[in-house]
Amino acid sequence: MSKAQISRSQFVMTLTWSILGTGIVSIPTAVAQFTVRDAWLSTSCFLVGGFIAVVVTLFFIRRFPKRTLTAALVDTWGAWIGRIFGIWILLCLYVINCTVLRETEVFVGITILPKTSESTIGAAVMIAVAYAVYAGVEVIMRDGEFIMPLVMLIAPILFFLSLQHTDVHELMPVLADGWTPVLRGGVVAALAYALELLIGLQFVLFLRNGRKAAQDVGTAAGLVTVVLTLVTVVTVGVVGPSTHYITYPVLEAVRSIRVGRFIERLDTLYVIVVISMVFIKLAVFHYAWCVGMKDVFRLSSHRVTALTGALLVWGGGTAMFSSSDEVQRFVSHTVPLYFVVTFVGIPLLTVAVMAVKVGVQQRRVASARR
Amino acid sequence: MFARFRRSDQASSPSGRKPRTASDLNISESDEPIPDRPESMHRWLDTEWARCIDFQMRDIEVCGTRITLFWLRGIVDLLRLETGIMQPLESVSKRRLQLRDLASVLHTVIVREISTLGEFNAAVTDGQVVLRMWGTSHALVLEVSDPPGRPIDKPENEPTLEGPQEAFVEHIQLNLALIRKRIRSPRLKVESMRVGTYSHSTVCVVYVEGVAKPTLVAEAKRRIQKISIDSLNDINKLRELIGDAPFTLFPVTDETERPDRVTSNLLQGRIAIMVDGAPNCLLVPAQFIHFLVAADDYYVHYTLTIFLRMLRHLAYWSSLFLPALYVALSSYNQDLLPTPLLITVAAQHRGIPFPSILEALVMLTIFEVLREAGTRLPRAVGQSVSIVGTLVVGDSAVRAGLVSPGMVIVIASTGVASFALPAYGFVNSSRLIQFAFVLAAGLGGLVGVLLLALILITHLVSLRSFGVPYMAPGAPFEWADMKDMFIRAPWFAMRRRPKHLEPIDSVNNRTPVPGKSKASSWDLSES
Amino acid sequence: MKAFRIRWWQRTRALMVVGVGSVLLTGCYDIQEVDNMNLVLAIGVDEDRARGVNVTAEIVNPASVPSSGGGESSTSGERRATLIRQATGVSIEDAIGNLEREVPHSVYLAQNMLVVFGQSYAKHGVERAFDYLERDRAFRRNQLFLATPERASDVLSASAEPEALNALGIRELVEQTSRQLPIVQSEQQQVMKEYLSPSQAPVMASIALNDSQHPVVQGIAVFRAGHLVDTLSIREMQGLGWMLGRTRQVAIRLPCRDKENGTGTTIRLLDSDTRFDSEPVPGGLRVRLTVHARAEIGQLCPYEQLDEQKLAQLNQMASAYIGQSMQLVLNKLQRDDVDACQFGRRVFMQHPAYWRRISASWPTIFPKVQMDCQVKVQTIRTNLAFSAPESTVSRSSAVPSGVGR
Repeated sequence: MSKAQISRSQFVMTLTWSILGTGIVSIPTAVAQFTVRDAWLSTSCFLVGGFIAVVVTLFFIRRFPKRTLTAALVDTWGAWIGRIFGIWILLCLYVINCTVLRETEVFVGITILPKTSESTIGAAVMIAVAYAVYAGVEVIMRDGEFIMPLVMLIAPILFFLSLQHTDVHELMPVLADGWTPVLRGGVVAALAYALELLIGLQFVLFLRNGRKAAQDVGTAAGLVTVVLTLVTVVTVGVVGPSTHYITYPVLEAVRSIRVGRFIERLDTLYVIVVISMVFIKLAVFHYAWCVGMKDVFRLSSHRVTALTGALLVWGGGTAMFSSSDEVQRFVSHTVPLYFVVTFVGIPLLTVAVMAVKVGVQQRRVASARR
Repeated sequence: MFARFRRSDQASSPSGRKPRTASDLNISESDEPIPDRPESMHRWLDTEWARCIDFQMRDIEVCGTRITLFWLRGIVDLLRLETGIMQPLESVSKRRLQLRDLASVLHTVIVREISTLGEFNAAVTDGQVVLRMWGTSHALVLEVSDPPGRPIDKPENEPTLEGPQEAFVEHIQLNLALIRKRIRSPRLKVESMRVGTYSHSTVCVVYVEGVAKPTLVAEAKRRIQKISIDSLNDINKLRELIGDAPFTLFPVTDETERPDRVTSNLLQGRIAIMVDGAPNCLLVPAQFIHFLVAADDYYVHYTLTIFLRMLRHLAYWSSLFLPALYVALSSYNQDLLPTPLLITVAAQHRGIPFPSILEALVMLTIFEVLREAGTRLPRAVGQSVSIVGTLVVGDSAVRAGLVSPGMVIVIASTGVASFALPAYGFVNSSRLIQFAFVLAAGLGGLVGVLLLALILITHLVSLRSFGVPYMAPGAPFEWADMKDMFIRAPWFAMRRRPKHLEPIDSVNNRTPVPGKSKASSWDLSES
Repeated sequence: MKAFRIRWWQRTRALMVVGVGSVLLTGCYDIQEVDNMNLVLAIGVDEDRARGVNVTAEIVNPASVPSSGGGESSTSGERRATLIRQATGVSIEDAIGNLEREVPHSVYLAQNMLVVFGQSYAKHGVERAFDYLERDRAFRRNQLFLATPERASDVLSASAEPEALNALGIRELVEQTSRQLPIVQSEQQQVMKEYLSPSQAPVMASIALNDSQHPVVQGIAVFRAGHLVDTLSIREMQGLGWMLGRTRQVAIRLPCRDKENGTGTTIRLLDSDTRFDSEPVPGGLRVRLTVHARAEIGQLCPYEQLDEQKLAQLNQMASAYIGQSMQLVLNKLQRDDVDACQFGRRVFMQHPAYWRRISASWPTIFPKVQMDCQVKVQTIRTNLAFSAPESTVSRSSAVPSGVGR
């Protein structure tokens, strides 16, 4: 399994899709709860979160160049404490996957299939995800590569067609309410979504060029920031103050495209892009979870948990979040701190402890030699 | 992933079941020596070659030495038997004849020695004449075989307008010659094996040494050696026996009947596997993109090829998705159609008793039946059947109000799109998959189609063909190989062999870019 | 061992059947065939007695949609391409729910392109409809919100020939006008933006029926928050257009100075652009609008010759006309106390802090706002002729003086 080799471009692309999958749907909404006119400033705060992710990744790969995060935990803390930390991480990954799936179910349910039960949609999505995870990390990464041309084709079309309705005046006056709402909105973007980039730590083992992982995370963060900021500018420009109360403002921006009598109703394209990216995201997180299970519980292969884990996510999504509002509240209020602890605190602590352990060992060896 | 896993599995486990070879079976392909007395030979022949009416045996006496010739009627060149063997034998005057003397006397035919009964059977069934001089331990095999066959013809299944017009036939020697004719180098290696307990077909692995990856050649040979089957006379059997993913709908090996395609593929780093008796040849590894490439692409100017390639990619995906999208849009996601179009669709569908999904499935089935009828019938009848079928059935179905004209258009254009693809085996997969997509569209609308598409993509990227990812060079992405994917770069720009095949020598073209030198053609003509 | 294997296979098969079956069973919830739906192209909202709502749905009649194929579908000749059905309820949503019970085939709103508010409903407040129209997934925010002085049902049942479908025809009418004055394109998202902006004064295109009972764009309906206050005529609509920003291809008709023969001069403003500045003055606000326009000549008065002087005069006349129009509108809006000219929003954009201070008393400040207009029209081309043909007329066939510049 460790032979799997992921190229840098695959890694960057997959990370980007993973963040954008839910980010492009939810970040403008989440930020608009705090500010509409300055939402684009908040989304550019994503870069701050991206920077934190880069720093953590940098420390991690220096200490553990060929380890997944969960394996590093077990290595550092020993079987028992390591497992407790590992289970904490696994729980977090599981919760993320549940929120993502739930958001997707709600998104599809609201926009396309209103009469179909959400659990059916979730099951269908998770079957596809389980298959991708079963097929392995290379397949997920190639999936990410495969949808790139799709996105590259569709995104600019939608972007430029939306521009005709964009009214830059909706963004003005800049900072009329000062920095406070901007930063409050920025916290969600930076901490809840940008820290998801640290999922990369679970994939360090599979990278062909693991030493450059931090750079790749940085590239992905930059790409995501640019895309999100552009999307937010266009969305607020098109939708205006309604952004504050509309569930899917980006979708509204796309829905408003109409050129002549025939080029209209392009939201299919947007939904296709979103679902493809969410699929990648779910696969990435589910794979990370399966690999974590393998590391923590010494399973023979990640495949053991591919399908059962998918079922667990499917059930958990519905059980934990009974309404779309709960998901949104969880993401806005709980997730930032939860992620900081899980994806910044634990890895950094692990790296530090490992550094101390190695230092002590070296000193002992040195003193023994003396 | 899948493939590699399975392959290494096989490689690592010596597993109880050893590949069975012919010698395991009790049909006396034995290592026993050929009897040196005529009586024991006859006794053996009476059991082994009993009730074989075409088995011929002739005793002759050459200067006092008794010689027997054995052959099978019909696959031996009788004229050469007469002039190349009988006549020289009659003219022998030397007494105390040795086997080696005979070999020099029969200098117009190729001669080799055999000593076992197994070899005897092999030689006779190959259409050779076996010469037994009693009293010696060996027998001579005289190569005068002339199995029935047809002459080299035009490629029927892969026609091109330009370029060479030769196609493989059912004779492996001729086929090999067609390749040799194009690669005049000893680097072109042909390794041969016999496969098939009864058919003993020759299977050749053909590659260019110094270009093809050696592990690839070894892998191909290893897979062929594992085969143990009664007979192997066509490519498809071989393909199913040695392919990477046995349960996929997509072909993971390519086949062609054009020697020029084989040649260019060999020089890109692929290997060819040829079977005696098959009028085509297997090319591995085969990538998805390979099936959207027609031989014509290389024989017309590259500007046109760019357009044609794009068109073909479009045709492929629309042959998969068009009916499904139509069903999804007309029975689930009407809000995504522009208003005037939806009104037209609604007007067309008015009064039609079936839901769109059923309409689509029925029409697709009818189309497949017509296509099958057109292929199976003799050509003259076949054409009229397909014309009558499509025109008459389609038109009257629309007039009778059973099918909406829009659906007929969609199904027909799907069919036409699939005809635009060069590889027949590849089209078959999309013929099946489009049914699945129509069902998915009927169950979940666009979301259903999209999810199935994601599963399909996942499946495609998980495939490998002889270790090379199936979707290469798209995923994993290889920028250098894009020159021959969606477009075909001009020849002077294609300087390297495809990277994903990992050829040993990567450069295949060192021609300077034409027209770039500062001296114009005017200067040249003056000097 | 063998028995086990068979049982295993059977169990797997059973599982597969259950799995595939359940997937198949759960599908198809959302399936809806085109024949089973009433394609609603426009809905009209009228106030009913006892403050109920009467909703008119314009439904495509697929039996008589003109198609290029001709043939069978159009044999019925006289049948209209759209059907009109009405239902009453407490709210729009309720009325549409009732429609579902009263009309066979389900109501399909996703292709709706117009929402026409009748006068009485609009006067009592269109904001009652906003939440439903914003929330329901079927409606697109680029549908047009229109107001009408008549009953909305009459507008929707009028014939918009040559366009067979009334809703498409009305949308086309509005779009044609909006090519000159973008403000007329009162799409839902635009109306919502105006409704939510500091000015809180949305406008909608106003559709009326002319004498021959065909729908026409009659002007612009002005709302204070959600309530219809007034309707602007075509000239006032133009004035509002210049106050708000860019316009294109607006034609101005100026009277002839010398001879009263009714034709007048036409100047077509190719495009115009407006700058807004504001400064607080004691007891109110002074705004300055600077309009720049480029123009071409559409028609000259007979016997008129175009020279530098004349050109300058025309420019000046056009400028004056624009300034007057703008002042006219402002006066009307100030009388109505509705900030449809978006002064509030623009002040907020330029001076957010100042706006925060005065926003509470804006309804009292707005009627007293003083406006300076500076209009500059520049005629950049004269079309295919320099002067009017009559300018060369002379019995003596002499070249008139002043020609040949």
